[in-house]
Amino acid sequence: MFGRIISFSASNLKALLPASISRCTRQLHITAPVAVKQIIETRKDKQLIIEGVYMNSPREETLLRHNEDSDACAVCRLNVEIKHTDVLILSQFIRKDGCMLPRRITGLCRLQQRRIGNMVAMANKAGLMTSLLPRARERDPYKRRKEHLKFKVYYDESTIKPPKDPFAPRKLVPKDNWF
Amino acid sequence: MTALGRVKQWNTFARTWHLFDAKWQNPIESGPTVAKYLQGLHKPIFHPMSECGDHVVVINTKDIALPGDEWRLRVYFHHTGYPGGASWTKAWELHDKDPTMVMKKAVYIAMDGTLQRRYNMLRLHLFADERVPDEIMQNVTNQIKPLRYVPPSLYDYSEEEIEKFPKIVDYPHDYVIR
Amino acid sequence: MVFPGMALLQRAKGPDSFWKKRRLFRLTAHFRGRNRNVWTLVLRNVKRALVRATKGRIERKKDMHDLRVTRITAAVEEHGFTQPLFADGLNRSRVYLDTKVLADLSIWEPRTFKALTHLAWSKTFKDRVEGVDEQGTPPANVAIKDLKDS
Repeated sequence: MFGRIISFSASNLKALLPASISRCTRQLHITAPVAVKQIIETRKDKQLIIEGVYMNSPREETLLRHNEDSDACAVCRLNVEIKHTDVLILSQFIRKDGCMLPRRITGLCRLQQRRIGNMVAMANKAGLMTSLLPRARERDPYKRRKEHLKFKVYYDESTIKPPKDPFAPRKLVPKDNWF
Repeated sequence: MTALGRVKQWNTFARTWHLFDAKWQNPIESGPTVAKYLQGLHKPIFHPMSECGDHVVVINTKDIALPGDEWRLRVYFHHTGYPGGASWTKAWELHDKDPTMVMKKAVYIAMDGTLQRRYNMLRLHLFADERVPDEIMQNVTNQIKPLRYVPPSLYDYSEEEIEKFPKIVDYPHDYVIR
Repeated sequence: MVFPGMALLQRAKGPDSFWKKRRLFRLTAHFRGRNRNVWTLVLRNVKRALVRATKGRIERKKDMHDLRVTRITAAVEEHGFTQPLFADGLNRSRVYLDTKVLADLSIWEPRTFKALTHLAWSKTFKDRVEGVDEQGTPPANVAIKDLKDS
């Protein structure tokens, strides 16, 4: 459990760790990750205390704390119409390679997860957050099936309907009589 | 004619050169706008028999954007005149061969189908990228406003702006950011 | 052999048939080929030409109206407004200028036309006509408060 959670970032910890300890640790990630826990060594006389201290997430300073009392998810609480071109908002829900984060990480409700997921896909296809996608790099140009996607595409988000809220009360529409 | 009179004369009758940046624009939507300037329909002195159209220089035609599936589904018909000479070319195939053709066809189709059309098309100058010859660029005096707002991509923002932007959602306590 | 009765079979059309035909030949000077010289063809083609001229007089009125509307649209778009809203605004302000006068003003009196555009914009904005908001903020310094609501 402990070994799985910790990650060591060379940039963060070089100054703190002696060389002997950094050599015996496993590098779990190649790209520069943000450390969840920071290893702090303190010496007290003959005792060496190594403790893992939780670090603040990089978003803590700019986090928008809005209506935190309500039970709704973060995006519902915000009550703002997000378009697929609002890249600065959508980029908060993606991994480094451009893929959408799962619901357990984002903490959104099912409805908003689907909407934001659709909009991230649209923004990727429309070329607004594109260069991190791995497939473009991996794809063999002679075997590409989707040749038509190499040119620019834009999406009109008035065409995407928000997914149906399954918990909304059903409206009874009376059948119109044909006679 | 006074000097003022001459200015008014040139202001009214001179053939203006307009610039249109087709980056991220839909050619089928912007075709009518460009055709309007080529025919002279933007001038109160318009008459179909007087050649009052202006020149339009369209740049970045290789960067046009079509909505959704249109690159695959929009087709252009051509018949050579010989038996079995019919062909349907998809938009992306045409754009591959000549990056200015889709825009050119959009403008041609949008224009009134009179005998003047071929002459008006001669005043349309299309360039796939931003490289325009100096002789043409010196004449350009006006820019036609693009119809579609071009949304800034993530890479148009600096890292500072991205960091300073308020965050809606924070990562969970034990999540490792990859 | 002599056939004295043959001369009696010829129809006597009258002494001024030349002049009657010449009435129509005068109209065919600009026709093409035999249509201007041969009587039977002249008869048909002159009739067609006159019919077309009659229909054309009605068409010309429509064409002139369309041309004037095109010119007015162009002049209105120069000021950032739209022609349907312009017409609506003028009607609401009870400015009943017809298309001929408006087209002439748009060419020869540009500042007057600009003032009319501003008037129409302000009036439609005040009356909250559908579609005005998309044109943006109306121009300032337009006195419409003295206009009585029609």
